[in-house]
Amino acid sequence: MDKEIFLAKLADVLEVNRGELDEQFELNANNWDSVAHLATIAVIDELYGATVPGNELIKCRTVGAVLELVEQNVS
Amino acid sequence: MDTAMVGVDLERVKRFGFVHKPGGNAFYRRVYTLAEQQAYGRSPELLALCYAGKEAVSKVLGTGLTLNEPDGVSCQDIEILWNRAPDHPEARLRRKAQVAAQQLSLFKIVLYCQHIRALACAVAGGAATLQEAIQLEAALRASLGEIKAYLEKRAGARGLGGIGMEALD
Repeated sequence: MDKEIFLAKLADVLEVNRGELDEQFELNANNWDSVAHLATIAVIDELYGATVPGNELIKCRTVGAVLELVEQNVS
Repeated sequence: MDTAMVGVDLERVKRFGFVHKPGGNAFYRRVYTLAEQQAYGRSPELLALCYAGKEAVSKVLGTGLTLNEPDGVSCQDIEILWNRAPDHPEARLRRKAQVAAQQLSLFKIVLYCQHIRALACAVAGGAATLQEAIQLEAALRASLGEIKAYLEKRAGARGLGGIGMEALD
């Protein structure tokens, strides 16, 4: 998994600069909306051809948790 | 049908500016059908309104939206195109969305969409008969007007008249 490419795209999804995004970055009601969920699923599909369950993704509270979920679903 | 099935959705137009960035490309190509992409290009205003329409319709169906989950209603299963009045798009249902509508015995989905300041607002309802659809059209048009009046009043009370609604989200 190329984490850097993923994080660069995730920064676009979350409307922040890449420099602001690390594994501790918090996902909350202000940035983790339905558009962000679908856009993150789309990026994962685009980069890795993998499907991440939406009901698991929305439970992620940090970028680190999203990265873990991606790693679990990318073979 | 004993209870009216109604869905409402509000989206910040500014949120959809990310379709111009690399991280927004995948969302754009997977959420919007080819016909929607041709109709709306990369306009955040139009894409937000279209997306709000999809969300509102998915709430009527009781399914929510997915991208690629085999059992879910995909964003592309609900196509929103303006073929009639400016505030009154048509919701075309395909695949899982069509099945969900059939299971609810829906004759028609009625949808109204409108920009209210910096927000895209959509209200949708499911009608089981033509008569119900006619009644629903009037009710949804009125409710959109009520939502607009409320948001305008709220923005006015906060002195946000000139800067849009983003601050209220």
